[in-house]
Amino acid sequence: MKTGKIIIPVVLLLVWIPFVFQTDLYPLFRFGMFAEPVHREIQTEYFSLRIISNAHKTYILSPEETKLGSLAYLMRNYYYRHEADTLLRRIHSITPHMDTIVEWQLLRMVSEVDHRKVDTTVVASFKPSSHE
Amino acid sequence: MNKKLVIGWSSLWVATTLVYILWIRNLVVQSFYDTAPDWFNQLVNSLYPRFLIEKHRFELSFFLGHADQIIIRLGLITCFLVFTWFARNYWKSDTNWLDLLWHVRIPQRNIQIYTWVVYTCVIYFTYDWYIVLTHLYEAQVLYKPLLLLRLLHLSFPSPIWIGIGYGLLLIGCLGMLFRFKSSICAMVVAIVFTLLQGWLYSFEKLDHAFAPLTYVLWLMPLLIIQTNHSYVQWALPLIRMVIGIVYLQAGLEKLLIGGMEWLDPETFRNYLYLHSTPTGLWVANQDWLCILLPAMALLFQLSFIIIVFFPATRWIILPVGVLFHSSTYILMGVGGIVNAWIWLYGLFLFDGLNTKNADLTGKKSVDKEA
Repeated sequence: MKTGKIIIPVVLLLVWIPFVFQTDLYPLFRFGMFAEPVHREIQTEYFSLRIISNAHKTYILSPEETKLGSLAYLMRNYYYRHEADTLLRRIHSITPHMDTIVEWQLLRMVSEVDHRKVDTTVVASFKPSSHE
Repeated sequence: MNKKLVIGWSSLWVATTLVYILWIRNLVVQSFYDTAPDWFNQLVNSLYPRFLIEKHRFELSFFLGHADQIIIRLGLITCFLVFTWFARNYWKSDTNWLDLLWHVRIPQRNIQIYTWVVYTCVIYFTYDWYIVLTHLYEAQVLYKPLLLLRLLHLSFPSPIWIGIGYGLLLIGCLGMLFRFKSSICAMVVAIVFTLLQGWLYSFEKLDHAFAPLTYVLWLMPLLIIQTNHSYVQWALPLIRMVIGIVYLQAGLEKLLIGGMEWLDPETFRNYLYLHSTPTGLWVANQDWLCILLPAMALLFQLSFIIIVFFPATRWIILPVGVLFHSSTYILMGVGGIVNAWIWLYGLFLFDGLNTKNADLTGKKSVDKEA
């Protein structure tokens, strides 16, 4: 029990650290999921990647195609860090068949929480040919 | 826990509060307007990498509120400490319940069952990690390492190293299941799991699907070592306590961040609209469910820790937990029906034998050991 008298308080102290600082300090976690109250009047935003191919076809890239589970977070984070162009360039560099792509666009969609009205704007674009 | 520690901690909290009010709070304001000293901006960016993103979305009051919460939460922990100290020293009983909690003897058979619970959980939920990580290797231009990986100066591993890591994880788990070099295997699994998970979540999204499992894996070596060398196993109560604290923190977060507004049916309804699952949208139209479900969820999260002190309550709390996690998946599409949180409920299935005042004839005395 001697080691327990040291280890137990230390472990119990460690697991409270992210709670106090309200941030994940991996491998210590903060459990603040769904803690913020959401108001109907607050608009929610979503981001998408749109591709225009050389056959003038336009389609929305799904997260599965990039195999990036965190794509939604990446789009939002790069947008707010004013690095959306960098994100498009990086996504382009890791996308197969990139030679058929004429333009990448980052779309920002703003809606009310119940999705009744959605406003979409192109917030960044990247033309691979102009950078070759 | 002695009196000096409690007084020392409480004094430290008072001093921290004063320093915060007189100095740090103003630095938070300056940081919001980009006029804070560099060292403070660096500290904020290390602790809160999202600050740069969020400050374009929220007003100053939002960040000041979060900064104030640090002091409030430290105060809450100080209250916990003082309460525990009082309970331990002034509880009118021959045997103190807080001491009894840690003096348990777990039958070998149960330890083996718990080992199977934990390491089959790891094998089941990491089955695709090699494939996912090799895909992420292709996307490493987007790699943004977590603080731990930055401190360890670890770049994203090549597919060969991912394969070696994943192989070690599997071998370690199998070693645990078949009792081969258990102590070493338990430590290897904890380290490799943490690293692989760290790389998995170094693309700007830290998931909490395996959070309790990560804690349990770090405590399992203690349980295994105690099984071999000690008559009492405080590691199992500690594991259960940590899982209980995880739920308690999730509940407290809702009260501290959302307050009573979190219980407002509109809050729950808006969450359902945000996630837009068919069942969730149906529930959003049922007023009584929008009142009942969040209240039940909060009550469950705050009361889960009772199971640690009163194990018999597990027959109520654990089924409610299964309902809670299943509902979160069905109503919001978060998690899954089979998830690691529920899997770890297996660690609560059996009682331990209390040894504090037991007749230990022929056995090493626990009191003597303590």
